[in-house]
Amino acid sequence: MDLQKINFKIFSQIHQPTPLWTFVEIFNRWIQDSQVDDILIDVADYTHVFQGPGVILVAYQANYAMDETDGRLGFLYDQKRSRSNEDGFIHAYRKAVQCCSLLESDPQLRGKITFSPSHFSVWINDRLEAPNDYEHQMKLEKLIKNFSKQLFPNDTFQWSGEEDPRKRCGFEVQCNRPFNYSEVLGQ
Amino acid sequence: MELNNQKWKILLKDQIPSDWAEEIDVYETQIELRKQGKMDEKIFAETRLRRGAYGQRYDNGHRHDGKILRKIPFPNTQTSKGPSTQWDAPGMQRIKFPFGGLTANQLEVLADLCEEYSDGIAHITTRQDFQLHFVHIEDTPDIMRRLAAVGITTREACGNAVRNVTACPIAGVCRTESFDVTPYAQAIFEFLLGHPDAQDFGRKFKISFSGCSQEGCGLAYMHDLGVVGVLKQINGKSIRGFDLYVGGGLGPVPYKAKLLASFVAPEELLPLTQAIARVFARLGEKKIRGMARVKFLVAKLGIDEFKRLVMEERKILEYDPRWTSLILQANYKPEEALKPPSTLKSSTYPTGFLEWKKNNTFQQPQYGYGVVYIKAPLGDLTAMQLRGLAQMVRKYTKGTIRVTVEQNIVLRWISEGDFTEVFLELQALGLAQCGVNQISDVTSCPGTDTCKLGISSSRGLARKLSQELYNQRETLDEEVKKLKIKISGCPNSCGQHHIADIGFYGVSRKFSGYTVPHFQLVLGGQMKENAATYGLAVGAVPSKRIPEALHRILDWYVTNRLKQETFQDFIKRMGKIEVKNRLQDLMIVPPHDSDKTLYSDWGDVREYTNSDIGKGECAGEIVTPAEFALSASEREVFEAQVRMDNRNFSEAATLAYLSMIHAAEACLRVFDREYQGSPEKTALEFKKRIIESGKFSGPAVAYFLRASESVGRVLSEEELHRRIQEAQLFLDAIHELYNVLSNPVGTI
Repeated sequence: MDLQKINFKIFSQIHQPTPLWTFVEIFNRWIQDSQVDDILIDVADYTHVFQGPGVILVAYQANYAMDETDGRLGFLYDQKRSRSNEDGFIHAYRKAVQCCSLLESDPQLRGKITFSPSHFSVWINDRLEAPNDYEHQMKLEKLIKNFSKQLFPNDTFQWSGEEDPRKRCGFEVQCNRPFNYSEVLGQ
Repeated sequence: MELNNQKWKILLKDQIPSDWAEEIDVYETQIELRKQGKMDEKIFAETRLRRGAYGQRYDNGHRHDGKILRKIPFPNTQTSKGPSTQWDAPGMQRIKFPFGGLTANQLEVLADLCEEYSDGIAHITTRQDFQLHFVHIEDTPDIMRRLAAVGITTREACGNAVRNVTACPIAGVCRTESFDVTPYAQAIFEFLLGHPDAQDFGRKFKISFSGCSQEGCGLAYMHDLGVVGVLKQINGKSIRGFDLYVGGGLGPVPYKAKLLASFVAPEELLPLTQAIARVFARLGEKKIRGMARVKFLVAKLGIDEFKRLVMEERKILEYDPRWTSLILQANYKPEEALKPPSTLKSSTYPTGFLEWKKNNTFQQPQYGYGVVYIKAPLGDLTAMQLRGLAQMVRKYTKGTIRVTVEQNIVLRWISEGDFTEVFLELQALGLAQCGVNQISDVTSCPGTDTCKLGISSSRGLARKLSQELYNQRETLDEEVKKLKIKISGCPNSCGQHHIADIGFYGVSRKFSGYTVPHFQLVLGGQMKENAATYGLAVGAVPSKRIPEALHRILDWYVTNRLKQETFQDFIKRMGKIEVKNRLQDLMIVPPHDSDKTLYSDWGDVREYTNSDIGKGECAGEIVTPAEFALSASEREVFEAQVRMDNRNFSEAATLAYLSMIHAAEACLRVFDREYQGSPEKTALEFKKRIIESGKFSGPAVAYFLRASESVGRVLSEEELHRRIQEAQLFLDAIHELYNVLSNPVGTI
């Protein structure tokens, strides 16, 4: 599999009501301050859509979104293309976690929202490379297990695969313990 | 040549018609040639447009971030997709669905495509198309292949071609129609797709079908070709025919189509349309884009001469067997139900069901079946919703669904006993919101969100108004609920603001060096009777004050309308001066330093400007001489409208022209602050210094030249109506130009 389109969605917890609109403001600031290492293009507001992509920071390498798909709020790193030499999964995961860390420390969000880097969904946004069938689920599982072993060799993970063949090939993954940002980003 | 993305091509080889597959292969090669610099950028631009691959906002590589105009450093700096269009900048893919019809499989492919190539959203347009945004040009061949594999072509979705053929979304299940026009819309689509006689237009050509003359579903009058089904009793038999209307169109200045032929026999429909296409291709304007639609040709020649030319052309057409074969197919192809008819039996219903049923469904003439309208907020659907709808389409219908020009969805042939279940399934998809086709169901073009031409945030405003009005739905007056709101982000009318009871189009105004987003308020249009009446602009209100302006007008209407008085009649009775007086205070913009609220747009946190605004720009002056001239122009165009209403046509014509002259004068004063001159001198100077120097282009040039050339000539009422609208649009365009000329842009 030639995997470029790796997606990670890091699930979040809301501690104080935070309108999704806040992320329109934050992502616009990210563009102003070049907060993300990417070619940042625009902010798309889909707050009016039921369980939709929420608010998206559209960029060249990836889209960065506060995503509400399936009614589960989380930060989505939707990689479109990669120029990293790092392992694809590690690179995409770190980019996602980096953004979560940025969001948590944002003055507009501080104390209102937290993310769980140890609880995420990962899928391949490419039905040609990774159709959601048994064969590709197996291949992907192997790749993701390698990735988690590299990053967290002593931890155990729970896995559940996406069963609907119309959806993208992927897994929801949860570790037996929470991660600190430093242990993900510091490695 | 080694091309990318070969795999979908191989995988779908047997599922794509060979001619379609070949066209897409050619297109992919053209992409490669352009990348290698072996194809001219203008030719490539028209090539991709004809395949529905459009440009998108910021594809020139610049975006204002609220502080500065920032360069977007796209990687490929060597190649462009067209003039000033960066290769790597995301674009839009338009996908056309004749008469808005889709199958379950097509819905699922759209779901996949919007996830994999776009931003997770498929957007329904005001012409029964879908659009995917933020698409890379190099992904478009595979998108096209995956669509072609389920019977969809994007060919001629854009460009100077026959665009999507639209039709009434309830054709076949409607109580007022003559007959189901759907198969005829399909026939004309198949006939004209890639037809040699429809390849040399100077501009696009839009066709619409309606099954009746009284409703607003087909909108025949606002199309280049509007086809209305008519049933006549002849010798005791019901005979089908069509009334053909030509030369309609919205755009900045709307034209109402004229009757070309009555009760055309079905077998004459295709040859007559072909003859129209040939006349348009031969005589239509090719150089001046703003004058190239068929409406201008019909207006120039007159309908009688245009008709004579079409009939002459018809006589010499070489016989084409498809004229009859496609129509024979069309003559009897009824859509059927999946399930037997039934009625609702339960006496207890889920919460919200009865309101939904009252607002979003109606009984078909076929006993035991109903139509379900589904509201798609701002026309946006997620992949999850598309897949959910696909499942419902399979479960409750014979596999079809339609989208509407009001950016909604229609399920037809639903056995009424299934309504409760349908409601619950739609609720789970977040698609059971009430109030479809009512005031809270606001139609909007993409505007500044993604459109290159957008001036104001039509979607931002639509979102705001829609949410507010939906929340107030229980207390809204019944007559108010029936009104339609449509919003365009610029004067080009993609949001169809002319045919709304209350329409808006985006403009901007400058105050002391700062630009403020506004919307022109357009009142009195109507969709009924196939878009029979177009509204007129009454004044520009800052974007952020539009909700207040709207509520004032609605409250005023509720309190003061006469019994059974329509909104159109009410506005007519009150007059534009009174409307404007009601809103006058809202038009006053406080200085930037005291209140910045109005200096940004709906749904956008950035300050509205295209430059790093410095206070030094206007050297401390509050009103420049140019702004005085613009102000005079605003007043005159408004007074022209009032004179028109009072049927003082001569003064209205003079004022409309003077308004243009003052706007031109404002421009000249940017270069010569003291400039003054007679109207004749100003017209000449503006032409020489602004138009001929290339500083000003677009359709407004034609408006100005046409007005200058017809000074002293008596205009017909229809011409005068257009002249006033053109004066307003010219003024709006001059505001834009003035903003650019007087406000140097800073870039990093």
